[in-house]
Amino acid sequence: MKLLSFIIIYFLLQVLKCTSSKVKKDITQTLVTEYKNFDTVFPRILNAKTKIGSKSSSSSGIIYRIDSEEDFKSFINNSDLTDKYAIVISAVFVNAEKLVKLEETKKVVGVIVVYDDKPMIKPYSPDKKCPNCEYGMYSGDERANYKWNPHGDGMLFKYFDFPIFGITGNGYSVKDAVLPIIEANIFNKKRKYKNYPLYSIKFDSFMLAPEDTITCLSRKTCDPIGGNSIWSSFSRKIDPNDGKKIVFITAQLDGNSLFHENTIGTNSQIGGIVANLAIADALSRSDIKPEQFQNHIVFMFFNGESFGYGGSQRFVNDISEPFKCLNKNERVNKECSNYASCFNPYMYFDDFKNITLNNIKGIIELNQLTCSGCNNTDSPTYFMHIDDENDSETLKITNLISKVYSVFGNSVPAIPNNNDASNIIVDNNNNIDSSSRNETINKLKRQNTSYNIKPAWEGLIKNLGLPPASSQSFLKKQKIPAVVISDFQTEFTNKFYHSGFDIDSNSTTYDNTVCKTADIIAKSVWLYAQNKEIDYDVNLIPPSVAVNCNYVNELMYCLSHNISCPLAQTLLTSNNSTRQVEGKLSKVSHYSGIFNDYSLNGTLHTYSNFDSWVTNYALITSTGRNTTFPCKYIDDCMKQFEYPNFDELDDESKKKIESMPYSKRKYQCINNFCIEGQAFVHPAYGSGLRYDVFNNKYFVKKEDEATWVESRWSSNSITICFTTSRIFQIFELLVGIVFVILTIIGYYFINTYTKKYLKLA
Amino acid sequence: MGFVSYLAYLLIAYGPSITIFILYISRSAQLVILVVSSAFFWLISILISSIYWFIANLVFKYEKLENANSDKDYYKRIIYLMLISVLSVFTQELFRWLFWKLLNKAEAGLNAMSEKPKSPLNKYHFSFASGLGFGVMSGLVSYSTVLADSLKPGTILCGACPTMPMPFIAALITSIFVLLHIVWSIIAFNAFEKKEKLLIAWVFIGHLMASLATILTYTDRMKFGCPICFVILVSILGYTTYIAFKRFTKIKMA
Repeated sequence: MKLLSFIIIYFLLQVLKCTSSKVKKDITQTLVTEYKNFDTVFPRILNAKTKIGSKSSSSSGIIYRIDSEEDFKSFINNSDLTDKYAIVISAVFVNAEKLVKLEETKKVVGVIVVYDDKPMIKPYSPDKKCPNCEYGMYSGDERANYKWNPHGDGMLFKYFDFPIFGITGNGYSVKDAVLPIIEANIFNKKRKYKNYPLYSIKFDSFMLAPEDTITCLSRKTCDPIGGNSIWSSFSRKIDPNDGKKIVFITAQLDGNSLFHENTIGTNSQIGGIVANLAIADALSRSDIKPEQFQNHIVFMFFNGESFGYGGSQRFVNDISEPFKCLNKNERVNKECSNYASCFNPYMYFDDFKNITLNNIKGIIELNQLTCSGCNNTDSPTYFMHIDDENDSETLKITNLISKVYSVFGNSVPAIPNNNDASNIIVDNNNNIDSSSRNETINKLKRQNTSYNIKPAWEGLIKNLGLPPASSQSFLKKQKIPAVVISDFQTEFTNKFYHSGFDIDSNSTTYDNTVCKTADIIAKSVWLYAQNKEIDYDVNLIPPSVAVNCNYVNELMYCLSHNISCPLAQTLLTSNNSTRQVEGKLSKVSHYSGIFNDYSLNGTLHTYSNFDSWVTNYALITSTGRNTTFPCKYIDDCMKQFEYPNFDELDDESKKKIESMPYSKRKYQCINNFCIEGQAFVHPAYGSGLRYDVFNNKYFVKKEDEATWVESRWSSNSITICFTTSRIFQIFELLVGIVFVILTIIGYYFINTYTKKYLKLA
Repeated sequence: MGFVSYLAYLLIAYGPSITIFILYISRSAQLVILVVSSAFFWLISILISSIYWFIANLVFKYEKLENANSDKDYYKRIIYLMLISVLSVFTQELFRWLFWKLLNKAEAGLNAMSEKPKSPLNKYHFSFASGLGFGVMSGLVSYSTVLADSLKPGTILCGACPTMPMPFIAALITSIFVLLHIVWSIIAFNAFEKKEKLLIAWVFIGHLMASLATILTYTDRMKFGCPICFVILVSILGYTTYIAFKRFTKIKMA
């Protein structure tokens, strides 16, 4: 009976409450929204020993918004809150310390990070304080603990016990997506997050991979993190026995951040990519053809570097031993392409076999170059890092660069002649007539900018060695002269290294930073590759070897802000000029992605790896030989140059020729002209992993090396809905049971009543 | 939201009808057949009602009024609801009468097959069963989708009573309607036989009032909409049961 009275009183209470509360009908209808296909989730990433990332979940929690430091403190310290909560937090407040504190409260079922328009004032980096140092050449040394990235807190390499979703604004407006959540939170706040019914969020996120790499690779529930590195050279053929050595110019292609869809990295790595491409462009204009230099020049773009130097380690391992192909004739599994150069071990391109560690004359690496955090961007200072300050071969490079700087350091890079055929891909709107060109030169000369590049160990007690850089992978194996150019001396000047905030405004120009540096390095490489580093009079470097600052600025803009810019459009529609780059894309992600079956066969454009695609074609344009033959499709070039008698061949041969992948062909159609040139790809994923071509699986070969994989996940979504309290649900159940009991009682009552009457009747 | 709520709603809405079915109807094959066939008749009647809605949509463009913001559109919606309700209730009662006619023809045979062929109680058994059939089908059609959706995360709140989940209110209304259909059938069959026009009219009016009362739970414009709705429903149920019971006892004494 007590129960019955409880039910009745509770019911009446609810009825009374309902007449006094005011919930707008509109909210009831619009706020029960479901966001499907949330691609911005911090996924589960594993290596042989640990897992990082966020957890799978299908639980729900009451919406609680954290919009300021006070909100955060009040959530942590509030002991009244007893339920489970779904935290909605602005991205500017997210760091490892806060997430760990949230985890410790044990009241959090999930976190949604919102990239709204709050400005990020304090410097912050989610990467480690010494990025990749356990995989570099100094691991085991005290230099592996040196804090190159002082603002880093290692959030990217931590594991959290709840799903972390992100609203980053890629493809939709953050305001639209977040508005229902904000309104729901206001509603909840009025009820002090306690008085039901309240708005909740249900998280649906499922990460397939279990605890570690070995298990998940064998079950195929995860994929190696990485992509394809790209390299190319002016020389048509690199022969290890031709007496020429190789000059490497390298840059890092990939970035990293909490949400892979929101990884730009303008100041982390894009500066280096653009400088590298600009140097290739400048050298292509040299009067002396670079293929006739005394040394080969190889332009290298390493992918997968953010996760244990995946690209550079793998490349170094592959070139340190002579490449032996065991099966050249027939493909072993159906994922392999018929056009691969070697089927076991599976290599799509095997041209790297002509590069050996002994043949490398020197490496110049272009690290962070935008000087975004420099104290004075009008007088940027760049630094050359080397490992051993007593090595004469390495000092030759740094002395050369200093010499070039002393002559060209504070003059304006000459704007090249626009009629030069090799500049065809430059922005079509670049119509500067000669009078205004002179005016621009004079204007730049009048600006009070001064540039400086100097050795990094100068003035320091001890040489700190190389910063986190791909060159460490080379020097780990063999002593090679290597110089890393960067905009920092003892600590990163980049305030947001590997963070979602690492992007500049879209009107930033890089004339005095990236362009200047590229110009000096281009001139230095021009001398270095011709063995002219010692005696040559630097003043005699031809003016044609100059970096085009418009090219630099436009590439920086395209890769950071808008991939639909004219330059990128031209490059991305190579080989098929009628194709449109899909949709209205603007920002693209620079996360390396995963190494899957497409990557195995040299495909660059999967999962929005636009940066690789742009780099590939820009590189071919610079290192290739231009023809004057106009074209629309790559087959036009093929018919003109490779198979002039194409039309007379039989159908089978025609099919075979036409089905050859573009990456393997000798002539490409870029910007409507045929270019004879090729760029090569090289797999880039953790060096501790190996590919088993017979089973089409990856496996862990060396646990101590980089073995990073990303878990596969099904589509993620969140649903905003009303929830009622547990007590209310139990009350409903009791009402149901009471109804059934009442019916049974009623039935027996009527039954006995009729029997009584029947007896009487 | 959640399995506990789902179970609760199942018990509230269909618990009484399932209990009655198990305890009472399942003893006799004829009653089961009656339940099923009367359910079918109701289904046809609601099919015809849906045709009315379809025509109303074509003619009056009801869909555009769905997101009514202005008062004028809002009242238009209510008026249309009422009009169509009248037609629908009329159709349902018409089919109740048609089923009674069918039952008449079959009565002799049903009586012969039953336990006590000459008992006057049989009529009440049959009308009870047909009422249950009507009610169960009506409950299924109106509530089963809501019940299925209640398993999804979260819940929707009642328009007039924002602290209660809508499926809860709907379950209560459904269970009351099942009972209402039972007593209406009892009275209606009795009235059809005796040709008592007043009682037939009462069934029709009672049904109409009950249907219109449920509109009160949608809107927040009227204060105390939810309680008033339930008061109306329960009072109609109470009064109709009283009439039915009186008839029942009267028969016994005769």
